[in-house]
Amino acid sequence: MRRGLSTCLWVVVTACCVVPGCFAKDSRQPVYLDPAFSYYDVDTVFIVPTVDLTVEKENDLERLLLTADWAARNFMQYWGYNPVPGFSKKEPPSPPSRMSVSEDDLKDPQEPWIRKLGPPEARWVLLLALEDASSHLTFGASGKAIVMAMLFDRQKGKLVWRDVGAVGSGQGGLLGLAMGKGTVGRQAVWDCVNDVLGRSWALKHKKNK
Amino acid sequence: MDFELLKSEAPLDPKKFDGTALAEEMASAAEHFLRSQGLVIVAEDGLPRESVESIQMVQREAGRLARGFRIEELRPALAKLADRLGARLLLAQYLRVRVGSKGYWEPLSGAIGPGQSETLLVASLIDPAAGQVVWSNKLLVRKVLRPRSPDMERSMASLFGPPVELLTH
Repeated sequence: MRRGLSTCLWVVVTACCVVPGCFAKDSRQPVYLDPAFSYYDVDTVFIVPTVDLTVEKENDLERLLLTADWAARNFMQYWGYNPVPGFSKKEPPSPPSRMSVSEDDLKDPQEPWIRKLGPPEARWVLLLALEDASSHLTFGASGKAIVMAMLFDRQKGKLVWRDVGAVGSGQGGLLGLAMGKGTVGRQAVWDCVNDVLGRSWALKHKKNK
Repeated sequence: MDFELLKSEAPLDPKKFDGTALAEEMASAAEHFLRSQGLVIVAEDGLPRESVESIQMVQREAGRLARGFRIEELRPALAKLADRLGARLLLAQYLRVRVGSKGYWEPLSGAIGPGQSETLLVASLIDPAAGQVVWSNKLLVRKVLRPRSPDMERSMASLFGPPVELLTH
């Protein structure tokens, strides 16, 4: 019952937060953008399971990583790209196998490693890394998340786009307490993926509208 | 030491964070830790000039060594150092402060949000002869650490506190 209520609240809060977020204007440039790269060249994007870079591990870490996976597929699909695998809210029977990499490896990736990402036919590979996630219960509930996202051109073996998103969100009072720590934590991860991808990738959607 | 904005990774002035005092506090905590492990600290002044030069060369990559990032590329420099120093260990430390948005509370909607700033601390003991990390610990503090603060003191205790089991020694 409590879990059902939490899920309903999560959906409502997500709708309130995400829909305006999709159209929000943020002129900040990404941390890295290859000068020869254009967002409009991208259509099909292979999304690699989110990697874990957190130092302080949350108890429901795998669920947070799954939330990031879902959010990436959901937003990319919504903005008019063709994410592979496509968006599905169904939890996989077993957790996807996640790469073990360091933050330094991702910031300065080597060509042979990039060429091994995703299936051989993939050209654009999107990789999300959960850098930090935490949630707290006080008089209300709050959560925060930091996500780094990268797009690789697998055929050329290079990084073409990288950015960092950070979100701290929550709800005070009884509503926050009813949502619970886990829900707020997942909400922060969801919003954070929207934050990091939305600034750059919603462009195509805006142009088509 | 790196001081940067969280979202843009734009570098910030270490002076604003009293970077020198933070480094001194970390060095002092590390010294205490090494002595507690029964290790002897070698002062740079007591070493031959060539060794000092080798140390300075490796010191430029201290952050990378602490994080164990592509340590194999530094193996020749580490091996040279090991040749000159004999069987000794290196302690490398790294600190990164990322400054993000502040926490908020909106009384009308009831929305709350925690602050985004954080400090990452990493310490590693390296065997230069083998070119390997023999012990490493890292700690994330979800705020900007200030020197001589109770938070900094607690963080140093956590970073160097747990019982240490060296991997190869």
